[in-house]
Amino acid sequence: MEMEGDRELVERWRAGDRAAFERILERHEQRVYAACRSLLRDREDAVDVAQETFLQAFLSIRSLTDESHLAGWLCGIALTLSKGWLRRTIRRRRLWERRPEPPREGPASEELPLEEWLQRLPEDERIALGLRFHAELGHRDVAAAMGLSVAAAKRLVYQGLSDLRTMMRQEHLL
Amino acid sequence: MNHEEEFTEVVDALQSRYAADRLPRPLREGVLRRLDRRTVMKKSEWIAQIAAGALLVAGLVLLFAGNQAPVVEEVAVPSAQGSEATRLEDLKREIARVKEEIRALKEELARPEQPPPKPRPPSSAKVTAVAGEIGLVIISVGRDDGAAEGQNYWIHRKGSFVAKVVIDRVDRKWSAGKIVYKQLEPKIGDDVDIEK
Repeated sequence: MEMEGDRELVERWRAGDRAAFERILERHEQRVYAACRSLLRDREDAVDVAQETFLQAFLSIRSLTDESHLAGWLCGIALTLSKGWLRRTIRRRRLWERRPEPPREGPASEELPLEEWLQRLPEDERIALGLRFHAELGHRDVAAAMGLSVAAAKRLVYQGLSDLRTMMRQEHLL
Repeated sequence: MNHEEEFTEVVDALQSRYAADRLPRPLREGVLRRLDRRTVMKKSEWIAQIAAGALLVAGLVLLFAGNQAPVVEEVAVPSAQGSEATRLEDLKREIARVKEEIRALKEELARPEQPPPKPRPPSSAKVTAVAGEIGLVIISVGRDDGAAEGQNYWIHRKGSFVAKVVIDRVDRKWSAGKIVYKQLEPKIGDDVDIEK
């Protein structure tokens, strides 16, 4: 059986077919999670915001004008909600960082440098790289999610890769 | 033009890092649960709107009747003001009755949506950070231990009551609570128990 495209699923979703929404949820949940992770360091926070993203998407499906860019639209909602989440929790986070023991589950130690380098990048470059290589979006969807032109999105991806390469060379990893 | 080809090693490193960061569990259950909760809220709002509409119509009918009737009453009954007051009282009673119905309906709709009770957190919880200036404490129980927003906890030290906190943020391994009452300043290492 031919796999149903996003456009058909959105049409069914708009007609009130909840199964179509669930299908979209399964298809795009990893992408949306990846978009949240480009801003949120805590995995559980990213899961919470990813859930909220689909809820908001369900309630505001009318605002989706181009069904072929569903992934970019969903990731755009995820970025907006992640930024809001960061704003709301900043005070808690500051307090949390004062804790005597560091309980955060971090990546494996050999991955730490890359993680740290990513955190050193400007926020928009980090988001662009996350959307491009973690959420695996095309440049047009990266642009849609970030509210940029395609050329600007490509430029950010390029700049992010270039900055990362500079850091890796400085550490003699390349 | 694809600039990414210039950065093969960087892209490989990134993809390897991102491949290890997968969604820890499917979102479906959580999203649908939130969606159902929101739908029930919508239903209750809808019912409230119908009730409010009915109330408005009833009020208008009563007012209209009140404006029509005095033509006769003013002539026939000298105490027309008393009659108006009675209608006003009737209207107030009707408003109170409909409000009560709305409240009962909201309660009825909210009841099945309450999540199943979570396991009680262990009694060995400790205070792990304190920010007295903003009235916050961090305790060593989180969502994994059954902690939830809105729970009340007692902080005590060597058997003496220290403070009461209400949880307002829960992470997997820790929670942040707002101090609502205190006899002593909470300190790191104080014992924490859920309110019985």
